[in-house]
Parts: sequence; structure tokens; C-alpha cells
Amino acid sequence: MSELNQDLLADIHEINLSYLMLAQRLLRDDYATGMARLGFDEDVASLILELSPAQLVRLASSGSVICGFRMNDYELLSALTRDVLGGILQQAHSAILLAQQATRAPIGSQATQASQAAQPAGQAV
Amino acid sequence: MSRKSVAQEAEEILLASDMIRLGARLQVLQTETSLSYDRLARLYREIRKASPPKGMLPYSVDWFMTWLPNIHATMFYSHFQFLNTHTPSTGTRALIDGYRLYLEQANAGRPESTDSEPVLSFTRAWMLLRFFDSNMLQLSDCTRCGGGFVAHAYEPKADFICAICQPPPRAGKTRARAAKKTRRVANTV
Repeated sequence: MSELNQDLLADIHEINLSYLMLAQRLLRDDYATGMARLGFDEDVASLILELSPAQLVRLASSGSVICGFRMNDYELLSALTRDVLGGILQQAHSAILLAQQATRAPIGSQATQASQAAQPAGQAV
Repeated sequence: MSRKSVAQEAEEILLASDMIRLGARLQVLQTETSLSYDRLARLYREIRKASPPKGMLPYSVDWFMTWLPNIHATMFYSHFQFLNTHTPSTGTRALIDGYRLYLEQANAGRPESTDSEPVLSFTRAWMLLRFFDSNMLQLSDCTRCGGGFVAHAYEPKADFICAICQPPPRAGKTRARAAKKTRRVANTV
């Protein structure tokens, strides 16, 4: 097994730390909107918000990247990279698909949740 | 009816002023808050420095089916749905926050933002939620990208393809853009 270059390792730590700090800033600025931007659910959001700087640093100094790629789905990514109309709509498309990711069913449990998602959600309005 | 609490009224005034700033019509405010018409109209005049517009609200389900409005409506609705189901911001608050997120996206996505008027106005966004509530609209899953898009309720979902995966042939070729193009050509010549 080859040792990872120290520079690369430092870069990973940096990405981790800035991701966690950005998440905290977004949540502090506007909790609900921040959750929407990050794609967090309520438990994770409140936990991240409470982390102390020392905890952040400890969490960040792992050898692997801690933030996940949110488009980790072949179908989704290929739909997004398909060139339609010169790519004007790509931003809109990714916004729609990312926002719906959490509300809609992950592949596999589609049968139960798809019917739920089809129902109007805005009952409180 | 119990007497209204002052704190609650203050909260509603804040909500109403947020909505007015985003361009809500009086009818929207009247439904979303319990403030009286007079107070809302006064608030409106204070914030916008103009009298509230009169007349009916734009009432059309079909508007949401045309190409560009459909994409914008879907974008707003997915933000709203996330906020309403997953975050502490629900109901009217989710409408406001969702609309803000939508505005941000809509302005970023536009290649040439000359007109500041968003495609989906706040009042339309509110109508959209009402249509969903009264089961006139549904989200249909695109068979290509898997995203849910605004569609007429009870429409067959079997081979639905969304407006982005399969745009209509003349999509995006509006009269305004054509005019802009000819003007640019005229300038260069």
C-alpha cells in the first residue's frame, strides 16, 4: 500500500474543515434554508450546529473526504450532463433534482414513497 | 373567539411584510394571515409606497403546463416541499423561504437577465400550492431523469418525460429573445 502524498492529505483535511464550517455558517444564518442547501435532515443539522471548533477539527482530520457527493447516482448524473438546449437548463435541472432527492424515495423503496410524494404536501398552507 | 395575542399579531405582520416585499397581492396576505384588510392595505402602502393592485388573481392551471413556467414552478415546488417536510420552516414560512430560494436559482440560471421580473411571481407560487392542495396538480416522475414535475392531476404517469429532458421544438425561442438577437445583429452591422 502506498502512502498518500502529505500534500493531498492536507488538502483533504482542508476540504473537510471548510465544508463543516460552511455548513455551520449556512445553518446559523438561516436554519431552514441552510438545511435545504446542504440537504441535511433535522437531526444531522442540529448536531452539526452544536459541534465545537475542537470537535470540527477532530472530525475533519480524517484521511478520507467526509462530505458525500450528492449526485452519486448514475441515472441522475447522466440526465444532468446530457446537453439539452445548449446547457441553459442544467442549473435549473440540478436544483430540481437535488431538492427532490430528500423528499422522494431513494431507489428501491419507490413503491411506498412515490404515492406519498404524489400527494400534495402543502397541507399547512 | 379568544382575543388575539399581540405577539402573534407582530409575527403575522412580519410574515405579511416579507410577503409584500416578495410581491404578494392582498388576497394572498388575507388568506395567509388573520390581519384585517385595512391593516394589510396600510402595511402594503407603507412598504411599496403604492396602493395594492386591484382585480382578480391569475387563475389558470394551464399556465403551469407551458414549458418555461412549468420548469420554474417545479423548481419552486421542490424547494417548498423540502422545506415543508424536512425543516422547521413550514406552511407560510416555507412558502416565503422556498420562494427566496427559487428566486436565487432563477436569477442565476438566466443567461441574460435583462428583465428583473421573475417568471413565477409570488402570487403564482402561492396559487400553485393552492392547486396542489385542492388536488388539481400532481408531480409526475420523468422516466429519464427521475425528477418529479408539475402536471395535471390524474394524468397518466406511465411514459412521462419532463420539459427539460425533452423540450418542445420551439422552446426558448421567444419573441423577446428574437427581437434582442436582431437588434444585436443590427448593432454589429
